[in-house]
Amino acid sequence: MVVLDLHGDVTASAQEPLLDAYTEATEQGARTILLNFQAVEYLNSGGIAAVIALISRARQSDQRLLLTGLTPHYQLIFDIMGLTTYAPLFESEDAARTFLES
Amino acid sequence: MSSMAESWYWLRERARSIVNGPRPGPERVARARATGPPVDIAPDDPIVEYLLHSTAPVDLRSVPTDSPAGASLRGAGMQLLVPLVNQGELVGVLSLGRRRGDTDYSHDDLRLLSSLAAQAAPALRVAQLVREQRAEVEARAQIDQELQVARAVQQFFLPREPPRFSGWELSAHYSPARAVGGDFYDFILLSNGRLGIVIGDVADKGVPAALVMSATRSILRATAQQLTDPAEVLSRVNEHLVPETPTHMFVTCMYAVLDVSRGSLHYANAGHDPPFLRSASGEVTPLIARGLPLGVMAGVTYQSHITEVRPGDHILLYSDGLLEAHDQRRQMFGFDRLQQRLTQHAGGSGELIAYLLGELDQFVGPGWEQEDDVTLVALKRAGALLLEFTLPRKLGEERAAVERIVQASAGLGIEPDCIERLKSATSEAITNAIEHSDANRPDASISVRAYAITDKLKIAITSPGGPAAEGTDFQVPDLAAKVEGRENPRGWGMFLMRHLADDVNVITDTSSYTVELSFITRPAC
Repeated sequence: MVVLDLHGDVTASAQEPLLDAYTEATEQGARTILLNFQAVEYLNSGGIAAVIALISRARQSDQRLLLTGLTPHYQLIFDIMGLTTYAPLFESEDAARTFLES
Repeated sequence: MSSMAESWYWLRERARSIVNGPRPGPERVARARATGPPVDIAPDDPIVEYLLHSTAPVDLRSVPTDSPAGASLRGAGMQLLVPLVNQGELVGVLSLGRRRGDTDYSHDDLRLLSSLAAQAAPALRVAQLVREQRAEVEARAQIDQELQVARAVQQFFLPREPPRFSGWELSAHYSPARAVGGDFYDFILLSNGRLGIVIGDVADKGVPAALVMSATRSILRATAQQLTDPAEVLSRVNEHLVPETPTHMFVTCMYAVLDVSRGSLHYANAGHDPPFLRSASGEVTPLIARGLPLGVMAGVTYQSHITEVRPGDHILLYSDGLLEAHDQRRQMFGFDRLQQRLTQHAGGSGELIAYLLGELDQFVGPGWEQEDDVTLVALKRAGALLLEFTLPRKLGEERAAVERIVQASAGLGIEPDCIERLKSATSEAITNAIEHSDANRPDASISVRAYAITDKLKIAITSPGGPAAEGTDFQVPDLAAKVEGRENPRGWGMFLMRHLADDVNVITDTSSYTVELSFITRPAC
């Protein structure tokens, strides 16, 4: 599993660096990628659309995308958008690892 | 006097007086009455002047031959005229036929008649005065009664009290002039949370005006339920009213439809004074819409206009009784003074009316006799403006804007999790405004306003043009299609706003697009 740690503002302009990082992780042979939002200060629907683009990419290449580090507020937003159906949400990186091992 | 064949007399009749009109004058034609046919004596008949200057009974044969009354009296067999003069005024004439016994009237007869005339003239004048006064009292009573009927008709059709809507204050005031001017106003409950507001003035007074007013009101009420567009409503009302309205009468009428939840006001005007919009920040704008008064001619069309009534804004509708009130130097209260006074006022709608009536009172001074009806209808959208600013259309600007709103609403006691929702929803709205504003107007900025309204915080974001389709014809984004790559992954703005805010309103007009987000602040967000 490769962990992508996101920092600062995640908006529409995050799509390109996110996809680049994703491609890099894939090239390293990662089958599962965990997006860690722990250090994110600001996230809007443009940023979430970038996450959707990643989910779309993961589906095409039969990879798995997991999420962690979201505040309760953003968890709520991901929930109402239905995203957690496509990218499961974990309380922590460890919880994600435990899930994968089981 | 039994020896005298017949006696004739004429009395002056006086025209019926008009209330508050000029002193009554003699009717143009006096009339001689007796057992024979009446003889009319015109005021300009030379006989009047002739008799006035006669000190004794006059032989009819000596009366100027160009007197039509003289000729009539002669034709009726009269011989002698005894002028009844009181204080230099000819108040009547005794007219006698031929003396019985075939002799002429003797010297004694004439003396007796003169003496009788001298006593009868003042008595007759007194009787005339009593009669005139009684006629005047009766005329006045009749006019008073008519005014009472007119007032009763008019007031019967005025709303007893304005309707109540959450987030709105409506107040009205009507004070009739003594002669009842024909003002009216009305509130009409319409479907879909809309309210029709009417103010009008029939250009006449009394019972006929009151009847035209009641007809206008009924036709308007019925038409307002059938048609939505205020211009079409007025046009239809006019068609119905033209055949019902006497030629000298017409009705000025302002008709507005308020969308109570959105705060939009559609209006059209048939020749009434333009209402004022007073913004929460004190800016006063007349809502101009032009059109002919109702009832003048068929085939008239009107134009509808729209304005937004924002939290803290007032709308004032009024009649010309306020504008045209005069002070003791005969200066009018006037449009400019009203506009200027409105700038100075802040408060509820009832307070606004009380304030304006106080200003009017002060302007006209003591002992003012109200010249025309004074009608005022005021509505206020609840709320206080917390913050208003504009921002350039540049992505990233939304972050600082959201922080400013959060700071301005710090005193409202909003819960932290609600603040998070507020930040995200507002940020989405501003981002949408930045990205989707009218590309043809790159210099037009985005304006942001925040209001505190009882238990709500309302944030309004207005952009030039914008994503009207997303607001008015909203569809839930298709996540599956986005994940499968069949759709652009973006397009979540309105979806998130609708989930994160307690209420979302979209208001569009020809040049702007406004999203209003509401958050409940108390008891808990």
